[in-house]
Amino acid sequence: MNNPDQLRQRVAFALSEIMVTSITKNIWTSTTAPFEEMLMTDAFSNFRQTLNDVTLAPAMGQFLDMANNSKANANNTILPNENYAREVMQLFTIGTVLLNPDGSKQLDGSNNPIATYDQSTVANFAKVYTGWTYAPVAGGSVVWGAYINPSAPMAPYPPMHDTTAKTLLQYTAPAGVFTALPAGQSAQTDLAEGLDNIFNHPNVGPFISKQLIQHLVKSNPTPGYVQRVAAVFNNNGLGVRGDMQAVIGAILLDAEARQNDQPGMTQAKDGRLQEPILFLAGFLRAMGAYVDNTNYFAYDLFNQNQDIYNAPSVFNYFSPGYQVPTFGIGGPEFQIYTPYSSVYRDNLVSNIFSAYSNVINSYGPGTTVDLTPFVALAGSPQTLTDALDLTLTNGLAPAGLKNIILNAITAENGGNLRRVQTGLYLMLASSYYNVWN
Amino acid sequence: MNYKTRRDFLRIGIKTLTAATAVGAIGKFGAINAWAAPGSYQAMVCVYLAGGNDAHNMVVPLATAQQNYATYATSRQGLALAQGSLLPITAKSGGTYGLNPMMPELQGLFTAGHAAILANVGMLVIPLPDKNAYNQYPAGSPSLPVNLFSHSDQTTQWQTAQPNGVSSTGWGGRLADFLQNGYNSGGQYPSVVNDGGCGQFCTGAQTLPGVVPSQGPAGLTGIGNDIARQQGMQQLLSFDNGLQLVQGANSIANRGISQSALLNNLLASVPALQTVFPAGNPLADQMKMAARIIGVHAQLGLGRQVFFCNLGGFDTHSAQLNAYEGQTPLLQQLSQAVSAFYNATVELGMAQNVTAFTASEFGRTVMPNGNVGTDHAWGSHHIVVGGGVVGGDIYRSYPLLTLGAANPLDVTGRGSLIPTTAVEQYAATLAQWFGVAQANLASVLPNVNNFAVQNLGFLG
Repeated sequence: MNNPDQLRQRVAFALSEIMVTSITKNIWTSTTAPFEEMLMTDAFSNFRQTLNDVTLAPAMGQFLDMANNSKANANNTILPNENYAREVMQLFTIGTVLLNPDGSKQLDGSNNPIATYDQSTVANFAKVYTGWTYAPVAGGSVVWGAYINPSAPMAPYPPMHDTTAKTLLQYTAPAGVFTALPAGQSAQTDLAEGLDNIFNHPNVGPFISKQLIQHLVKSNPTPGYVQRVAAVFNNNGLGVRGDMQAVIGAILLDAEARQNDQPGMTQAKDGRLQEPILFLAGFLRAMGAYVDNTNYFAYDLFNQNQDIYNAPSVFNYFSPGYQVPTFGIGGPEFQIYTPYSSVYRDNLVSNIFSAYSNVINSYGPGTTVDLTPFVALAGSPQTLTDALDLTLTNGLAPAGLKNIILNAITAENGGNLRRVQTGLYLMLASSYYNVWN
Repeated sequence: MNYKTRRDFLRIGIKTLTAATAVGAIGKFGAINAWAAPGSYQAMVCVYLAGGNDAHNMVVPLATAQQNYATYATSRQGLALAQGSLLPITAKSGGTYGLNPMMPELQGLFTAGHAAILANVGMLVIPLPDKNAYNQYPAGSPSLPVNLFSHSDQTTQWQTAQPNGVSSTGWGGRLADFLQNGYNSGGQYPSVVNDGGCGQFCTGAQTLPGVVPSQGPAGLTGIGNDIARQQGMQQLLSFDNGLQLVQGANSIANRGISQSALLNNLLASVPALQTVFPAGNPLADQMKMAARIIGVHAQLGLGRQVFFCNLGGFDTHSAQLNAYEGQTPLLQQLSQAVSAFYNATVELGMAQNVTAFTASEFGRTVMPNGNVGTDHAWGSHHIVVGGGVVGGDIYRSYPLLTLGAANPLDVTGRGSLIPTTAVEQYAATLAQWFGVAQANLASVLPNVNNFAVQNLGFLG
């Protein structure tokens, strides 16, 4: 909330919603914070590094069962666990269908999408990921079935690694990247070459770029925008693939991301609904609120279907492909923005600014917002409205919206503090504010 | 008005229909079954088991014409439930089976004839009698469901009944659309989902679900008698700057405010349910709210209502038998919740009018993996509960549980079984009970005519 590295936190949070772990299964939560801290470190590194670190993270090993995933038994009546093998491709890297460089689906001669992989690919990758367990404590040796060690990446245990040959994703791979692994390789070599095979698949650029755009800028980027970012993912200009700093720069500095820095440039499909945690953090930061870790917001987030770090499954709280019902437009965050949670959000804002008689509004022990500077302006409804616009909507709120706020502030007869509270309530309840653009 | 028996539905329904025909006002009305006529009330409650329930450990064959417990135990190895722990049931059509030991309530409902089991149901585009039929279609063929074994794809397909294409609506929502004029004209809350895991099932083209959390719908608290806020909020809800996402958010906010006010008042106006629902059971909480809403259906102006409840955690790739975090406590929650819900419908005098049924994106491999778990597969078994259910039986054939070449349905060698009954057939049976004539099923279930049997008989 209060740290200066907001961009790093935003990117790390976006990554945590793409490469999901969840307390719903990781009920011993010692691995959760190290996983999030690792994503913070990796946010500005290379996507290949992130892929490696996520794969070997104890939180992920536990969540998607790569930890203690054993090779097949002697008579092949028990086979390797397919959980990580499937989801790392479906959700973290390439998706289920072949993409064009602009993120649109490739179609075959009959206009059907083309599968990126099949069940046999999953079964082969399940073998790649065998033979890893939690790291030993310092000085110890690797033990199969080890108890979870949250502070170190998982470690190989050679006797449980499947050393048979594996067939990987089939595509025209660059030099040094393999589409099959020979028999007899170590767990480390199989893993490195298996992840290289995924990382270099042409889908990764458009797949990851589009999702990062959706988390950071807008729900419905044009194909051109996706393609420009994906090109930077593929090559940062220095021949490096997966350079996250270059990718993030390309996302945030693209003309399509910046067009709404000026008024009057909005397009019908612009915007992104703020998910509950970003909505909360966003307006509290804008208001200069004091928030510490005794705050009550975990409960509020739970009630808005975003129980933090406890997504229902590896599919996150919402899906990148979710469409707003009857509007026929993409809006991932709308999947958890229900009629009920919409009312809840309004009520939450009202509760935070509830103190009728006190300019310092408290919400539980860990949150206070000092409205003194705004109360000083409330003698003039126009000045207060402009100040709210400048503070919350970058001075770009449309005239129609500002008029609604202005009329309400003018009509509010409960005194200057109540005027501020009413202005804030309506601004933050407005769909314009909630749909950031 | 509550009709207690199917005979009453039939008698009164035909009269009503005849009267309507006589004045030529049949319209969409003519498309509904005579025995499920306007004036009656029926509700279906989808109980979604998110993650893919391993139903081979929910219903175990003990002694059937095809196999016995040993077949199951040999394939399942360390995942096999002990024979002595299973709760025996005998199907009317023959064979003894064992229910998971955590499901005594379901055993009671089955034995009393209020619960039925459907064997080996799953997504299909066309019937695939065995793996030779399956293998003649290449991956990506439009004759196969898209992305078999993927959670998100199979979840969407189950809920939309659209295995090889894209649909913006679910079949529960399309049912509500189809029946809106005949049963629900002017009614509120034609479909209801729990807050949270709201998938597409209840989304129609015209009807959208009410969203009600288990603890009840909250109304707006920030306005009260403040005229300035009242007027401001009213204006905000119709503010339009041309952004489609703003319009979408306004539409949701409008529904939230108006619906919560209505339902809060109605629920407060009726006596509390006496039926005890189990505590600490998220599915039971949702089903209790469904029962409470069913109790005020007349005030809501509804003749048909579709509910969607959700229980997650079934993606048991590891530690499946764990008493605290595996499938075991989930099946206990399922059994206890469904049983309490059935009891509540009895209390309301609505047992005949309400059918609860399970759904889940896929079944799981018969063969375990090395983490004492199971991986994604295809066909699975399901439960239907209600006073209208012709229970005490297992419908369709329970599949052979051998692995690999010996099993004509196993497409991966791990016991990923081709469904022998399609979700469309399951849905079509429910839809006909709900009032959709067989000739009109395809308007709700686009692929239904690929299947010869369109009524599985579990609802008479």
